[in-house]
Amino acid sequence: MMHSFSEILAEAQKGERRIMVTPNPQSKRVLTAVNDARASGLIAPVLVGNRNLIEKSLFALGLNTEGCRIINEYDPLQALKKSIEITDRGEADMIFQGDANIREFLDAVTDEKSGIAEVGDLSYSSLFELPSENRVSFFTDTYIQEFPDLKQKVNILTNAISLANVIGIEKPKIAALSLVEMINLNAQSSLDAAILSKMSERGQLDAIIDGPLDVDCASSFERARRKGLNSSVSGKVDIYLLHDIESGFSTVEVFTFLGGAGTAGALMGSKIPVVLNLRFEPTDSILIDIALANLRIQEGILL
Amino acid sequence: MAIAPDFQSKIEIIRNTVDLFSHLGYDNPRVGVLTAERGLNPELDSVRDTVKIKEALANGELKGCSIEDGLSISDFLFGRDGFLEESDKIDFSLIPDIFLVHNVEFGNIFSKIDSLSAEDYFSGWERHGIITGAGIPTVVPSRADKHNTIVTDIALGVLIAREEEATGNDA
Repeated sequence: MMHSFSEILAEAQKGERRIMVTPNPQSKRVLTAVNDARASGLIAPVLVGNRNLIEKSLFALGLNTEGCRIINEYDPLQALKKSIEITDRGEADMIFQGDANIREFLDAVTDEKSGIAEVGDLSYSSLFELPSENRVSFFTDTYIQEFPDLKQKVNILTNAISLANVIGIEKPKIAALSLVEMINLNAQSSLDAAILSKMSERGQLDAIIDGPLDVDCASSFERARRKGLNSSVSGKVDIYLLHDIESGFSTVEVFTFLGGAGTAGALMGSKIPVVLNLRFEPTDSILIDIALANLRIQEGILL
Repeated sequence: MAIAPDFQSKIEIIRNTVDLFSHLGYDNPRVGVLTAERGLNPELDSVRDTVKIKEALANGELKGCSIEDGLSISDFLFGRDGFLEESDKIDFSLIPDIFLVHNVEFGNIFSKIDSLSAEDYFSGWERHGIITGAGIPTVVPSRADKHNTIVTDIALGVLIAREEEATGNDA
């Protein structure tokens, strides 16, 4: 089991280099991330875009084109299209959003012709480190599915369980979060949580799910005890399932910006790893995102 | 209190909180509205409500506060398209005084978020709460709260009651 981002990186470095295609790399953030991943031995970069501009931007950062294959394409939209085609032809192992617009990028990835992913299958899991407990934990869905129904929540959890498996957590402990630990007939989150919990009890999901739980009961055995609750996941949660995007997205933002936690993450549910460039992840987290993508390929855990 | 407040309820929530902040000595507090706007869906209810809240402030329906530009913490910190370059360069003066959240699902998590990682990321965070808008300040501690937390919540109630008495308003 990997207990920290550095262990995830070290484990990924044991595997072979993977070909990662990036459309229109321009920014310091993206070029640094690509270069770090190459220098760490994780990837062989394929950069698609204006060759002169890419070279100039790299040199300006004190970097060079060592180990990079550059495919010249002046038009940014064409560069994105070409990047998708390269992955479709099997010439790349993974694709990085780079500086492409998130909406255009996800549209391209989920385009019927590309076959990289279907919108409904996708979800994002965010990881954060808990150094004091020497482990990592996940939030999901923090970016993609907005107001998932129960079926979609099962899919989101299946994705997150796969990612937990990638870092060596078998049968993860999951807290399906809600307002309180009681079922509130007016709160859909609590109804969904109760059903998911029952499904895991019946072995329908390869995880130990408890819910509804509020964050207090989920995160602390002591707080749960003060509420008179005895939950098998209290204080040991690997995956927190958030009810909707309003809670998922903002929870990660609070962790990153108010807590100073450098969260990393993975887009799950695609046929090849798709690495996103999200504002709530600091630049050095992209290296961990790429390491997770490498591990997914290494362990054959894809869609 | 409100599971999924609509626009009008959000205005009431802001008013109650702005009143509370004025009792604490904050003049014209800055309100930041949190939404899940992340470049994927401009049609979110939370985004639509935020536009209306800004209109309410502009036409005087809402007073005594300002509304921050932006729809998320990253917007408040880095503007519309900016990125966090280095984690240690966050300018905390850009964090608003009051966060308005879209629904109680996130409000509940935000109010207890320190418990998710009290040692690593949120050490020193203190949480206190009070129900306002109910006529008198109402203290409803969580069953998981410790003694000192509840005492400070009560202190908050006493302070509000005193201020309301002095100004002749209802809490």
